[in-house]
Amino acid sequence: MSHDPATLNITPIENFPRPETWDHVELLDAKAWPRRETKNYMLVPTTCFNCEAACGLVAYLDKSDLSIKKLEGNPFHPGSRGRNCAKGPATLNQVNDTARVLYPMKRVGPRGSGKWERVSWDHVLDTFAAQIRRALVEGRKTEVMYHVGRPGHDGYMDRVLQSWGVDGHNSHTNVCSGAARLGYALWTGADRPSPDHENAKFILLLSSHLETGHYFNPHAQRIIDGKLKGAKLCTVDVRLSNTASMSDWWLAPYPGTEALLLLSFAHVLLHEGLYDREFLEEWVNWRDYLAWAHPGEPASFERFIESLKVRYAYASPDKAAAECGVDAKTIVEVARAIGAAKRAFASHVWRNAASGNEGGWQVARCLQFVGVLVGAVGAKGGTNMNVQDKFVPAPFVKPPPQQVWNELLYPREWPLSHHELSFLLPHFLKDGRGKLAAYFTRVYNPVWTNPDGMVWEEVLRDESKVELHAALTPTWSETAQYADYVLPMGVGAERHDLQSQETHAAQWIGFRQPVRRVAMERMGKPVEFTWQANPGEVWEEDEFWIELSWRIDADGSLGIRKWYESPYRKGEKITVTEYYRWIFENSVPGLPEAAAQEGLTPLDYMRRHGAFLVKEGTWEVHMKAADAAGAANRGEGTLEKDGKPVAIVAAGAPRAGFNTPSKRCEIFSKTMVDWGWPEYATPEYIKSHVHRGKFDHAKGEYVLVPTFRLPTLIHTRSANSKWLYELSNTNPVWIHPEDAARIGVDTLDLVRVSTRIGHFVNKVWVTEGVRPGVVACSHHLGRWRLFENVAQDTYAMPLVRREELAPGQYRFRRIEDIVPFASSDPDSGRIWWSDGGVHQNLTFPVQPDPVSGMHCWHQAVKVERAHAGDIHGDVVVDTTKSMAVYHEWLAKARPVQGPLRRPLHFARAVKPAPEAYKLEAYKLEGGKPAGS
Amino acid sequence: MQFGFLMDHRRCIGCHACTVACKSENDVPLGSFRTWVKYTEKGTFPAIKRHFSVLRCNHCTKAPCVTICPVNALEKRADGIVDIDRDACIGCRACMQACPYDAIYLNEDSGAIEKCHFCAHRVEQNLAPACVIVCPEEAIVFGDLHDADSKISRMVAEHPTLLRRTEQGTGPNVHYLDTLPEALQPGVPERPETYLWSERPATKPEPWPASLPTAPNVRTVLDAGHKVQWGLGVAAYLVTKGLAAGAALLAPFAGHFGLHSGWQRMLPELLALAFTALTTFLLVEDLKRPMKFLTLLTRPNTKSWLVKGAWILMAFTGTVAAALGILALQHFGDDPQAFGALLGPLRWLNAVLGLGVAGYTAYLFAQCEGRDLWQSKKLLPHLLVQAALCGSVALLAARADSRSLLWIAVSSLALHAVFVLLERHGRHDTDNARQAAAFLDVVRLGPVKAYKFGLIVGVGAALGLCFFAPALAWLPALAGLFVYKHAYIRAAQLPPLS
Repeated sequence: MSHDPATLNITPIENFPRPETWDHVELLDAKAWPRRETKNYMLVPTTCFNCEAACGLVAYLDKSDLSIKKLEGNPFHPGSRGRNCAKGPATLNQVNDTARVLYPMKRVGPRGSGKWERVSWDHVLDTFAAQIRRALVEGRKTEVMYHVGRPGHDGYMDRVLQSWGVDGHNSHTNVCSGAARLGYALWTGADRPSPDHENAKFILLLSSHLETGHYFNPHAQRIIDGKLKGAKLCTVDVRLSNTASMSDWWLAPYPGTEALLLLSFAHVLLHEGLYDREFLEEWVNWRDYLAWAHPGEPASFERFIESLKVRYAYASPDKAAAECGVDAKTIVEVARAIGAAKRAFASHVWRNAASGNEGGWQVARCLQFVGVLVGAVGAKGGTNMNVQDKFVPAPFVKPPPQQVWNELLYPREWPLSHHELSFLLPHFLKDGRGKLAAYFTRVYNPVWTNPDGMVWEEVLRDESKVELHAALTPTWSETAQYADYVLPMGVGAERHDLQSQETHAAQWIGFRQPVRRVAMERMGKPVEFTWQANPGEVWEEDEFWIELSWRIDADGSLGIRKWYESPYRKGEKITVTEYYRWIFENSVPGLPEAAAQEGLTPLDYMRRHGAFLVKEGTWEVHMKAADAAGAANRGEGTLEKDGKPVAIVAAGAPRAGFNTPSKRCEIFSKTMVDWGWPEYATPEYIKSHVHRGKFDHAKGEYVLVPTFRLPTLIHTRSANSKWLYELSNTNPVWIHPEDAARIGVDTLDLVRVSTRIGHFVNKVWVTEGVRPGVVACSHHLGRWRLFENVAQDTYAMPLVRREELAPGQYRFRRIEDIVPFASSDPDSGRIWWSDGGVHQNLTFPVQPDPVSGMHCWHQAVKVERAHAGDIHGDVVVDTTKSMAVYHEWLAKARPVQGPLRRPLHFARAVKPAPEAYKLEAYKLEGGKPAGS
Repeated sequence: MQFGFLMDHRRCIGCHACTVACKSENDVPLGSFRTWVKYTEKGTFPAIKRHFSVLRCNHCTKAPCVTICPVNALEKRADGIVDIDRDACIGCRACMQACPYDAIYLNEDSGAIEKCHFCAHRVEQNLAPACVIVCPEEAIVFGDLHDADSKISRMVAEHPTLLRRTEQGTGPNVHYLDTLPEALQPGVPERPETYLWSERPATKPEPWPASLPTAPNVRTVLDAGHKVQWGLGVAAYLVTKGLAAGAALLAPFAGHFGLHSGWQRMLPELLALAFTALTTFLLVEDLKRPMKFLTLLTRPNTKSWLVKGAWILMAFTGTVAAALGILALQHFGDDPQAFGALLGPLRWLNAVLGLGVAGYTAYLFAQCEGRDLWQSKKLLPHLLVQAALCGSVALLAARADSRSLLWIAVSSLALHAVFVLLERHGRHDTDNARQAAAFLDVVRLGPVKAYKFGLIVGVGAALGLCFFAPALAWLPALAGLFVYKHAYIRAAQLPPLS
């Protein structure tokens, strides 16, 4: 081996090739090493699509064939700062998936029978255009639905749906973050937090942000930065997460008692005077609180504090300790440390207790209560709100909001939901509340992801309820099996999207690009549609929607076509390039100037950098000067117009305040009183549906925590990612040794875990890393495939047989483990694991929270040794029981009586015109009205 | 100059980004890793923590893999990086026995070994290693440990760091800041049958020996698997080599044993030559790139006992062949005394070289820093006793009436038994040796427990036959020795090194 040390020039070593060389980078080939052979690359930035964090990536394209050789971080990206988690570089596995869907596929035979034929994009577009046009022409504007799992963009689809005039945006939010959003929104009007971990002195997580969650990598970087600068870290989680392991305190209260634990922190802060009087006096609607709690009494701040002490007496450390199972000394210790951090208290609840429990929305509200008490809202080192740290630039033209309201999305039982009651869609359809003429599942796999997946399966098979269904997906999924069309869409390096996330106290945009197309264009090879540059005919959605919209209204008579006419070429169809070019030229402050400095157009700047920092140091947005001209001073610093607060006087000037009716942080929510939940006017502890008192362990009763994720997996899009499944390939049920002994099982034994509608059979992992009395199972594994010929190249989808044991009663039985297979990738023959995980969600009934509408994930289960005849991976479901449980939970909701369907000041996805909010204006176009 | 890493486990969140980025950069096959993250849990609820440790090549100052590699495929570069020339590798996997960190794997497609090479191809272009740049937490610090001003040197100076398995004397250059000490002490934590979200790779299916205690409430809950590289071929090679050496050792006394007429006169040399040939065949056959065998001669690493052993074997073959030639000439030729004066000294020379043939393995195994069981000082005398054992039982088949042979056989069997028992039950200085000794109990060959079989059949039954049917003693003695050698070779490779 020749190696001359004299040629070594090792300083300075850099992380990335110099950006000015990105068009042509000569790199030594690792494969040939130590032969010093070079290969030529073009580097094109894009954005990761493997979670919602939108981290930057840079694709290395081999210039000889423009194949993607690897993906590294994008040093220009303000959120991820050139660094990634395991899922970023694993994008390459998705690109090179040897069983990819490369062409549009149409089902042959009945839905779900597993046979497909290749069709053309023209056929697909014409079919859907005709179907949608018919629905629009006939005024069925609630029958066209776009259902998104992983959005990956900001606002693009809002524009498309509003251009069609439909109320058809559905999401996955209510199996994910919905509950916490309500809790947050009640305080400030913004439904997600943006903690400033980097500058925090105390970080409280009801999440596992050092391994998963929105926004894992950017947040994890800043949490550790903060910690190394001296911040204390406390994690609340029922099971030992990696995050908990890195924490100064890991608190594992009984599931469902988290809100009380948080209130006990508040209790200590109140009683020990550790609250921020200045912030509270100025920025909390305590006068409204007193007027409600103590009408007729003189209002003073002292009275307010005294009243809180009385109200939350039930949350004293001792009482909380007894209920939560966390010792009182620790509660006091943590609370004092929070108090000592003052405003530099960063906190976050992501899923965790909020998504597990009935009343989970109060967990977020109680968490924010603690933040409000120390004045951390919007503070440096505190917790910003997402609206401060996310920047969504406007497109060249926006259609007006739709005039219709879709009760399949926002039914009147849940006027306060954040957002759509997405996971109940099949239950609504089964209950005769409507039908769908055209249904798009887009990077969304409800049969697998949602609870009660067999009801989804039943409805998706029913052509009277779902007339035409396309699955827009980068990979095979359990849901795509039941679609009429499977439409292959690009992975992170194969599509355009514009995305911004609240990763820290700044605003940025990230540009996802089809890197091969960009490289071809840079080399002077024009590309009309992205699918021409992608593998096979894998398309990107942006262009798909433009084409589809154009065909729905080719002659312009429906008024749709005009929204797709180029701002640069009058009357002609816009291209995806023009769409983004316009935004970069017109809607992103500072971008044209930054581009000009480098001698680039704004579009070229974004094509080369992939991201742009719009603003930094976004603290204290509520202190922004407000235009209060014409407003009347109501007293106590509130400026009003038309009887409504519009600004708050603080530090001697009118301030914008918070996005709530009172413009202040609302400890008292009039909204809750007005909308049917007066008992929850303030943050409170609600006993969960899995309250500890309900379990008799001697009878095998436990609470199952099924919500935790693993650092390396992507819910339902990583079965083709060999590098990820090599690291995580089994999801045994975590059981504490005490409970394992009681049940009579040891690690690797099989248990049967039964819910109200079925059971699953899985292996056991006996561990000290879970609270006694609680069992836990990661929902990140448990994929399956029904047909030999579909998704056959898989690292994580064992082949199962679906059996109908009785009408409505199904069993999935594994007939083949994960096995090595032959493919063009020799690694597929080296698969060394066999499990692939066991699915749980099919066995969960829907449990919509009566207030937030969020599915309450935690399950009351019976855990016992597997029965004779049970085999690993068995999943048994009785859908006749499913509907009964659904109706039970439905009955707990309080249907709105009107006059509005939802508070106007609440956020709503793709917000309709105010007219559509009026309840009497609504006419059902099929099915029966909700609540009747 | 010495490049090194510091794993800042105050920052590491165990996310495996480094693992995957490395796979992508270096095209690492499934099942193998150049870097991986081990998880270790310690404590009981709720006072329990999961600890991470990023494991990989230590780019040792005294890299045992470089020393043992027979063909100089591994190189300690001027910048301290231990690099591999995959084209030169012959696939003997001695380096995998030498590495006390399980940092090397075999690429089964190419037959060459691979490991972390510090992304030398990137470093030479002034680019940091792939694991460094991907790390969300900047927890992997790299740089020149000999430059006192480098970030890594300053951090090592300012903080107490741990190194892996310093008792092996390799001078590891990967520092660990703030990780759990037990996480760097392989075999100390319990190792369950599966891991928390990964199956445990079935590369070492033997159960953990019941006799081996682990630390209470410390568990390895995620780790890479490492395959056992040396198997039955190596066990067989040790027996055939023992036979060849033993026959030569006893040849000077052939007449005394009654081997003085006809073909029996040639028997020691015939045995020595035949089993040397078989030994050579087994050696070559065990290479993953057997066609590259001759590079052992064209680019020899003179420090490697694989090379020295090959030279000894070659010399031995030559001199034994010469002796056999003389014997053949005397037997088949016209002059029964032809070159008679040379025969005696040649046989003595063969005996001396036979000591080398039998014993060089002790020096080779001493270079295997990853296998403490093999590094025992008792190995050299034990190998010589085994050679005497092999030679004597083999010759007994021809001259069952020789009391001397019988005496040698019985006493070498008895001595062998003492060594074997000491291996299992004697004092061991390191965790690894202790663990390997305990693993002797669990290694099986088919249905039989190999170590026990080696004692009962290889010593017990052989001794019995020595007295009742000495001509047949070779059968249990050699079968037992082979099975025991299997236990010995395998058990040493079973304790975890990570």
